[in-house]
Amino acid sequence: MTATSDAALVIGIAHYPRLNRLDGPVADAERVADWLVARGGLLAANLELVLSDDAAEGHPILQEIDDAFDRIFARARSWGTARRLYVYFAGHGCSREIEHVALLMANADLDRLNRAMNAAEYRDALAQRLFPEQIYLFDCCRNYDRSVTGRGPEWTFDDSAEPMPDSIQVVLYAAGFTEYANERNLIYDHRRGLFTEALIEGLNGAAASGDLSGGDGIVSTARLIPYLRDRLDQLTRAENVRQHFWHEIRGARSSVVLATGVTPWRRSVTVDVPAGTVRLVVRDGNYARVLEKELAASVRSVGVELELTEYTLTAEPSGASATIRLLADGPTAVSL
Amino acid sequence: MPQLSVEGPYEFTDLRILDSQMSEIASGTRRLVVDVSPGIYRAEARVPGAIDERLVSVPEGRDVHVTDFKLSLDSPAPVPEARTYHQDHGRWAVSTSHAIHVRVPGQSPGRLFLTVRTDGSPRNSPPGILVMTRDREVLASLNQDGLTEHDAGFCAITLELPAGTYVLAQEESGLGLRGQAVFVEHGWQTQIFAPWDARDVGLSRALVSMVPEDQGFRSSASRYEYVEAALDGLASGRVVLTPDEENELLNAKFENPMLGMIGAYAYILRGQIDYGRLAIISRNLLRLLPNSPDARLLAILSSSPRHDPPLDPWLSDLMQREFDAPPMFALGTDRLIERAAEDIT
Repeated sequence: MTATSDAALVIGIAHYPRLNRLDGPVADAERVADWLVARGGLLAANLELVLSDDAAEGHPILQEIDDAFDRIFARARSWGTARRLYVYFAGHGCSREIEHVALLMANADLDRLNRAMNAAEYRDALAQRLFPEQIYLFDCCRNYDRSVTGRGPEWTFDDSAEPMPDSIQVVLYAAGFTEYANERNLIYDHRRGLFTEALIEGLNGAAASGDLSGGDGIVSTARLIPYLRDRLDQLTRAENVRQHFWHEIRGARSSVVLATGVTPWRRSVTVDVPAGTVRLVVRDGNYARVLEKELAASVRSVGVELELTEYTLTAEPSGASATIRLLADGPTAVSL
Repeated sequence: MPQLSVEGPYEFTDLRILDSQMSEIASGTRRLVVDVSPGIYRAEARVPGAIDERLVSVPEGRDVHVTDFKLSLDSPAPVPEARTYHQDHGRWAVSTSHAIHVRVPGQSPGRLFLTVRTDGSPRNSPPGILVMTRDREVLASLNQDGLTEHDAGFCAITLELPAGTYVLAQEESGLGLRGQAVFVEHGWQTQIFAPWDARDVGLSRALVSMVPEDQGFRSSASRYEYVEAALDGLASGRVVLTPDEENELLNAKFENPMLGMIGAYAYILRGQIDYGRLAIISRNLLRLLPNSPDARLLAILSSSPRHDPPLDPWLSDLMQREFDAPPMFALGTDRLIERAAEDIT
């Protein structure tokens, strides 16, 4: 199976006539949709992009989301076998517990905050449906509100049905339980969700790893998740806001390859080594050697190009070492 | 296999070890020791108000010990150990907790002490927090009835109320009036300490404790940091209790009802329900807090849904009574609804 049997529902709600208006969600949703089609291999026909705008006040409502799901299901059934479903949401949200988030629709108001999608119930129901790989991306607040649950799907739920074999649900949240998700002017006056910013970076190559067999890079959730966590921490620290990435993985597998043919971003790292160093060894997170550089005894500083992940750098024979984490920004000088 | 050991600076430090793919391989309180394959790991340490993390490289054939966490503890309670401690806040909390600003007549009185505070920086607008009955009758307004020191970012109030469940209500930007259940017991003072951020008062991040009524706010005696660490842990689905606290809980020797309730819910959340043990814990809770919906619910949860073996008479009596007030813990409300649905089906 390939990306031709993938589908995506991408929702961006910025216009809430009766709640605080947001700035980032529509553009963020469009960026995610663009990535899915341009880099993620998704056929444009399999993308359901649901956006708010000024012209259609109070829309989308939850029925429109259900209609989009129905179109996705109809298409997927025609394929025979479906592979992956992406669900992205940017807009207002809140949570009543750690694994719950209510995604507020554009017609929500103070007396009807339950005009919202109960993402936890949708996920439970989707676990039995068509797509063995499901990726959920929620760029919304998760501030605590006991009274807002949202509505679950209207699909007939089969209590006896098991999740599909070898299936996986990966859920990436912009914020931890009880936290707000933030948007900021990151590039001039472009307002962006900090989570989506990190997500797009990661998907575009910051979280890519070199595919040793084919020479191309891949983006997998195994590399994306740590990248999002660390990069979002970096962005939120810079903005002085309290927001921490949170994720859940349910299922038999631990990782999903989201894209191939992605060139991994690399950064030049300057490593100062102790006198007498004859070799610099670079190991990755599994302690596999990814690079060895022989050095003349007089060399005290060496440059290496590395993908954006974690490494242990060791000078031999002294054994002096340091552990580093490379991100799109941040320090690239290490002294052993 | 090499060993990775991680130790936090406080007894209640919540620790986790994650592998390079962010999968949790160990978690616990104060100290963790785990056998690992060589690789890079994250050792994460949390205390109230602070998180620190170390990237740790574990080489072949060498054990690694991590202790150098930089954790600057914080708490909405004005305890001297807190990063945002302000001497005046501590002084005002002591005096306010012993005063009674609003007295609501009725039987079996208990007290409610509410504090909101910044790190000492001023706030221009007052926090719009109301204390209400469950029928939305306003009993007190923090701004109007309590002590307000806006220039120092501090407000507090104490009410004497008949034992029962009340609502703390707050106007939240963009969301309208939101409420939070709070329980008051005869002979006890329920203490609520909420952070007052630039954005608003974080009632959902408040520290809730219960102390004997006459004790008032006494930072040295009330183990506020321990309660807060346990509450933070519960919000993340983890049990954050020190070995002593865990022993006290499991043997029903605890005298701090908040730690008892947090611990009991945390065990339920962890899916390790020993019904016999939960019955002992909940009996102790009911002894301390006979009017508490949470204590009553925990007692009911200590019986298996099929009532096998048959219920003790005291529990059977308890189950006949309606819940006319929600539990203080959100997790309790969820479990109550689930249990009601199970009993119906």
